[in-house]
Amino acid sequence: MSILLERYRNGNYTVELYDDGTKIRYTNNDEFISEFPENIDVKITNYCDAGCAYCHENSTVEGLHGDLNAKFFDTLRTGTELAIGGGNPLSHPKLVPFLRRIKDQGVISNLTVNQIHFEKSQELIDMLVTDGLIKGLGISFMRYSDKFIRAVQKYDNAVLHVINGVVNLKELEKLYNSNLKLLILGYKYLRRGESYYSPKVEDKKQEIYDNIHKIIKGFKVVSFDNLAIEQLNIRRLFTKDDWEKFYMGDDGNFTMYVDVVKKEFAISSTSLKRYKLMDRIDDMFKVVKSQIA
Amino acid sequence: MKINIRKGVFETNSSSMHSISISSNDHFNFYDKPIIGRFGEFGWGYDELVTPEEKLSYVLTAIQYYDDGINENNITDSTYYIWLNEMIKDYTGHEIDLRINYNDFYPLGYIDHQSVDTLDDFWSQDKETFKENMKELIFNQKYRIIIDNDNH
Repeated sequence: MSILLERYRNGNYTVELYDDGTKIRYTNNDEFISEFPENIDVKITNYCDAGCAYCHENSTVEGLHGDLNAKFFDTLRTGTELAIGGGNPLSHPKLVPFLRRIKDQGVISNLTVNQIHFEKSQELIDMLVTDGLIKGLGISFMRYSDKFIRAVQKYDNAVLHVINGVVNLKELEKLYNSNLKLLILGYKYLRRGESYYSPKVEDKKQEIYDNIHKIIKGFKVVSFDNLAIEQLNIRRLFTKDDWEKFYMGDDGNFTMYVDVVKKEFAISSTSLKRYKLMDRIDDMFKVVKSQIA
Repeated sequence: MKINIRKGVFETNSSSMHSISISSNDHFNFYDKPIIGRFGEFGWGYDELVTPEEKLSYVLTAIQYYDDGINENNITDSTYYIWLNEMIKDYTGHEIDLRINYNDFYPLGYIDHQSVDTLDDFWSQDKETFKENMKELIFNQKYRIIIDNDNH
């Protein structure tokens, strides 16, 4: 039984957010018209020592930390979700006080880290979850081990992130029936994703495509970003009515991206068109929505 | 009322968002085994076809009325059968488990002559339209096929 965390109005609809991450939005109108973003992808640092060959963020040990005192944070509404990432967000020296401040505002923080940093930072992550400073925990999956899986299973709201075209089906199969949640991200032909690309990427994508039913059955929840939906033709798995019920919308309708390292924002992190950071989230969201109109 | 549901995950994506999430335990139930494809005898009725298996049976039986020259020996060569099978595999993960009873008087079943045009609105010569329409007809619970006659 899920517990209601927040209920709020946004434009012409109501949003309910539950403690297992379930989100329900509803309206008596024919479409949802948002006034502010429900979810914001926030890049807080470009520092990372993992050196992943396929990193589309190009994060390195030379990467800088972002300004967590940016004014727009003060304008976020109760119930808004932040997907905080980097780089390695755990490396930001002001992460914990930032999370405390934002929690007091009623904002829901979710954090995504690399498996390497997850394994190295168990004590810190335990504290962040126990203190309710983060709700969702995304972990970029790299390799299977029993110890890693046991560590992930401690967190009810952990989600393993994998990239279509990078992850091996055999690695995924090892994770089956472990009561885990999975997020499949589309392959981005950007930055290091461009140089990493080879025919093997296509072979791996085909494996995932051909086995998507088994993958879904192997996990408690499987979710997809818009790029993965397109690459794996996830629409084929849904009737029209179910699709309209479960599809959460295109990038920019309810979401946006903010990079506090470069002090800019965009529709999503893969958008080439970037704008200078503003002081109010509503103003930035109006720009985003004008771009998708 | 319009409703959207994200099942069981917070937003952790660092590039866009969880645009769709599927819980393996909810009503969105994938088939463990192939769906069985049987031909049926759809006469006067009254009957309502509600389950995917029942509706698939009606569609399979209807193929012979839309594809001349089709019989029990070449039904799997029918373009409509091939498209239908592709859709079923995409949706359920398995091809149709086709059962033909060659000893039946009508191995491909039959549909009463007054009803053979029942599926005209769903039947299409375009592959993708046909597949999408049949997915809706067979798997969308809001559609049911009613077999009836005008003798009452």
